[in-house]
Amino acid sequence: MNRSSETNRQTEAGLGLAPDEQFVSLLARHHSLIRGFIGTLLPHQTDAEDVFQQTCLVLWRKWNTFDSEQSFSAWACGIAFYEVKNFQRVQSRDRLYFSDEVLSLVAECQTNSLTETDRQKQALDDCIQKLDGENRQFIRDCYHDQLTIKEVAAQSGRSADATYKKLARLRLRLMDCMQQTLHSAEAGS
Amino acid sequence: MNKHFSHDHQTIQLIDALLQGNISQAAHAELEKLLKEDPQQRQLYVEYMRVHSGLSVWATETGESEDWIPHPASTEQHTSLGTPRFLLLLVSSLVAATLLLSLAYYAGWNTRPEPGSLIADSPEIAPESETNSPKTDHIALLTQAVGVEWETPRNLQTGAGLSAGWLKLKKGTIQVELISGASVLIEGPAAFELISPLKAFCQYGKVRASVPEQAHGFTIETSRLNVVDLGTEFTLSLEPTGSGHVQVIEGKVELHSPDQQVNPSNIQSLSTGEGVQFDQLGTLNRLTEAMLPLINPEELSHLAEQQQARQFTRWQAQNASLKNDPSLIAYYDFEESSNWLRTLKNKSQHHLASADGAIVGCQWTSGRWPQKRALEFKRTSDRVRLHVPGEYQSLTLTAWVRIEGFDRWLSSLMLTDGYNAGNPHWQLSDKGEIILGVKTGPGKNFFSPVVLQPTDLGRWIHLVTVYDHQKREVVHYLDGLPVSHHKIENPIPLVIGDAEIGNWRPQEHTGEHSIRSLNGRLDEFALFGRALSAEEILQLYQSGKPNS
Repeated sequence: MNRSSETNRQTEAGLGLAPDEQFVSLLARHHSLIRGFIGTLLPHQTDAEDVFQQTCLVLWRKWNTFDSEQSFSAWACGIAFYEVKNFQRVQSRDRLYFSDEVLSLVAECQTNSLTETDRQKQALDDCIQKLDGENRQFIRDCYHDQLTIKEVAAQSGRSADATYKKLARLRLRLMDCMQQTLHSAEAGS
Repeated sequence: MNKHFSHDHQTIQLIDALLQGNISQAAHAELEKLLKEDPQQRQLYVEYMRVHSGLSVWATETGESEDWIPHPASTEQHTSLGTPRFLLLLVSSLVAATLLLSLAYYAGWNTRPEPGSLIADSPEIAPESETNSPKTDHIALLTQAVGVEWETPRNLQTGAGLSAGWLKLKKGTIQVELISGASVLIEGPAAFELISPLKAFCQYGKVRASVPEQAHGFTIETSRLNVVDLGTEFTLSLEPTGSGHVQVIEGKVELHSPDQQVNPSNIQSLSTGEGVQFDQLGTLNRLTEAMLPLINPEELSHLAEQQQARQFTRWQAQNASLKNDPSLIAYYDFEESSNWLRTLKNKSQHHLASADGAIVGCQWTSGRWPQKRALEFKRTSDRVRLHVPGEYQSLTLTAWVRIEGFDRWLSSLMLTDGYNAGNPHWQLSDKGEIILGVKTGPGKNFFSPVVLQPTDLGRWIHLVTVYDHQKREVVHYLDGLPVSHHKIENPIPLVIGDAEIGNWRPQEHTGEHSIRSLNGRLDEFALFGRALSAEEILQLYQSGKPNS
């Protein structure tokens, strides 16, 4: 009896998994954390998506350097941060980007909250659901990379400027809602 | 613990400008300075960017995950696990087999704990190998289909392009012309795989292949033997058990054993009139008497004509009864008596006086069957102008249309002039979505998932969209089946007034996307002042579909 429960524990710790399986399992568990982290460093989410995908490949290539004593999320975000910097260096001719110093400050102030990513994602999802359907559709249109803001504006008969303003208001509302959700949960526990 | 940010509007405004992409150099420098010096502003920035980034992920996951599913039956799939895009990317980038295995493991783990659930959860992957996958690399054309019941989910029609993949028939006969010049008649039940212009695999079924000089060497493989055509015509009949026979109608055929070592002793050749019979084990016996020949192309095309006549008659019966439906606001069957008339009559018996259409530009042509008339919309000026009076709590729009191509982002089915309160806009996107826009305040668009694939171009499709006031939902249908349901938050009565079929008069809406002309044919269009049920719509499709 005892022996069998011990074996179970070993499997849970990932010892029973082949290294590749372990990688995929860890990446699957942490992908939204990594994606979110990159998303805060790059304003354009298409860039963020590209860097995220690049990061996944690099993580896979460097997987043999990963030390299993280490935290996967810290390791992955470290590599992601480097990929963001790399991306900016290649791209920076036509766009304004933050200096590496500011970038690392922004990255640093997230190190403590990385573990809360799942809760934050849940809070955001809940807050999105609290919006009315029209606003939800509006956000989907704006953020879905198939449509440009101009197209969304043309579709709804609004000016591009008004569309941007409306989107900004919704983001602010969602941020307030998220903070309330997260803080009230904190107070409750 | 309660750290409340009094939203620093300056910071937020700067971030908004950054996100918008039009931030000035000075403003960017200012934002950078704030972030560098003030930890609180930095925290605010991170929180705000998390919303921004989170919304981007959310929009991609909820809005796009179903794009590659050919035929979603309901919106349930929207909410089911959105496959993260990076998974697909990983699969294509790292072709390491071990990783693929692990991904399969992950996908199972992520949805449900029991192993192997990947297969159960992803029926949408299976059709990839069928000929209905959204590819344009056609290697063949379906030139006839008579009395066919397909085993594949999509109902292929005459004229459809075929990519490499399976053709499975429960019954009926089809003719397939490969781009090599070879053509095959396949009689169901049959499972036949197109591999390349010169190669096919037959699991079972009856096949008659005609191979012109250009396509010499055309091969039909089976699990027992490969039939290589060196002459003009042969038949192959194969039972699911693996036994069957081959007979040469004219010319010469070689039989090879399916294992790769081609040594002369494995090759048997047959000439005109000769045939062999073979069993599950691959033992060959010469046919002593001629087998019954399979159907030939002339017979098939004669049968096809008969079938068309039957279908047209069936449609006429439906057409006659439909005219009497009191809820029909406008009904255009395009069966005008002369090419010279430029009026498209509203055939609804109950609204005779109004809603005749004015034909502008469009040419008369043939519709679903050679006997059926249709209008062709080609130029950006082609249109049918309408005036539909009244206000409708619920509305059903139906059309039989053959899209030739998507010239722009939006193609009109029926759009009201301009876009005013209560106006419906019924159109298609070039991605293959059906869209109903309803002007309520800022306007609301109900997008179906991507349901039209490249293989749907050039075939007749039945499109229906229902605006159901009572159930508070919009439902889009393709070929008689619902493809998506959408909740209406605030139902309002719809007003049509001046409108156009196949085009749009944008009025004050100038600029991008103001040209929305349709490139295709229409041969039936109806507006009902009520919500049709799913059964009624299936019935409309069944009695109007052009094949079988």
